[in-house]
Amino acid sequence: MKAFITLFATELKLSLRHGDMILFGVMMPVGIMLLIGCVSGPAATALAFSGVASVGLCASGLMGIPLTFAGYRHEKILRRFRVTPVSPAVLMFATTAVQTLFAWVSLALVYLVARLAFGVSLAGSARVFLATFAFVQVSIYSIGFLIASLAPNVKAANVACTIAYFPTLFLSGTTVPYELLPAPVRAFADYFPMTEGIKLLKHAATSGGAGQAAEASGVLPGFLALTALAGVSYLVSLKFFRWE
Amino acid sequence: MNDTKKRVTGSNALEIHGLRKAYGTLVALDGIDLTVPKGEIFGLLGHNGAGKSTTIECALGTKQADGGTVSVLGMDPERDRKELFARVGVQFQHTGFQDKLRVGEACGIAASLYRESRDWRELLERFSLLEKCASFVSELSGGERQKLAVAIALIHGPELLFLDELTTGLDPASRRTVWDYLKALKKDGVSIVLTSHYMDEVEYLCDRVAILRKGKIVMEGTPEDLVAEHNAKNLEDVFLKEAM
Repeated sequence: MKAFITLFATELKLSLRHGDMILFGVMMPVGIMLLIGCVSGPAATALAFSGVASVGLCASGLMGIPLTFAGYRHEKILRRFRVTPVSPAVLMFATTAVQTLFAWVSLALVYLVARLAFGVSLAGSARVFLATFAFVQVSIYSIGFLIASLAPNVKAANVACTIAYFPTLFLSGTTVPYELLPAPVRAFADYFPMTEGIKLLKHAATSGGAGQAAEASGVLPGFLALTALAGVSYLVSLKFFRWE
Repeated sequence: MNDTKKRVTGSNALEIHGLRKAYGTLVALDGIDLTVPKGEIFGLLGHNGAGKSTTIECALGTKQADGGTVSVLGMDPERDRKELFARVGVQFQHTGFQDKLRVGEACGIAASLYRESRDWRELLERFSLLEKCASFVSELSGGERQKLAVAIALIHGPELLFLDELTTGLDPASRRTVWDYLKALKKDGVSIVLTSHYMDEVEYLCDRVAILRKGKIVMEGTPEDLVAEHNAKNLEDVFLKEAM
């Protein structure tokens, strides 16, 4: 536990020094929420909330986690941990915990902005919304772990992250509301895991829980797809992960 | 290393029998046999690519050997990992650190990985690094980074030290500081396995040495005996004759 706490505190400091997650995971979604709130009506702002709240998940899951792990492997930092009594997995848990913290702080701040500045409120249960957010997080992070495991080097990880992150950011409904996209683009965006995640979050925000809502509204396939994605991705990640 | 068996030997720090390792068609280790008694400083010599680092990495379990047995302090480095690395310190040829990590934080992390650790500030002072405590590791010179890696390997007071090219990049004064410290550790009963390209260093520090050529040990003995056997002026002459 001593090692985890020290690693968590140090990794948090390193993230704050780098500033990437502050900028892309926290400040950017807060700014987008403010912008959408200022140029849209209350209904559109409420509709956009779930997507904007997921920007932090994209930044941490599709950039932060895979790039950090690929970098630590490349720099042989994970190998150094292998010759200590503590497994390098503890370092990875600490890093994931830091990324999780950023994603949830981002969610909290986006909600506060939406609530206090624009009067957005969750029609559904807050507990169900948070559980759905955690479910989407587990699913999206599995893509990050997959990239970290399969990318042969940092350069390949960078390319894979760019391919995963930017289309997700612009087409899945996180920054540009999904409803505003042309039909062909929406059809393409439907293949993105985050698009399904945001649909679940929107449902949780406006009615019931992910599973319950799924039956009622036809988002069950998305729910199952994200579950399958997470299961397969984590299994493949475990099988192919290399410390060096 | 499927045939690795635990060998409980009271007097040996390291025992290697028939160690084999190949990278594709390149045979890196071709049946290495080594025994390092406790309290000894042992030097592993050879040209670049002779198999020194691979021997150390296979002995530590960070590389999977193709065959042979390894016993470190009477333990199996893969099976008894946690217990073993609480008693063993390792400095690799290349030691990576997280970007934007400060020297003090690197030491703090290292100390947190062990149940008991010594005061790392004393170690930094000993290696003239204390004034660099708040500096980023990336700002250190190559020699300073090397000294930091050695200090980190010593942080938990190990019984056995593996030092891979320990003084590469160090200025003469720093080399002497490290040498004196290692001599003091030997007096305290610490066993050391090191690799080096500096024959003066090896002659000054090592009780015994082995010369590796293309993955095989071609000579083994005390530096004095090897020099006398070859009627040479010094160990460097022996090395140049035998290691090619």
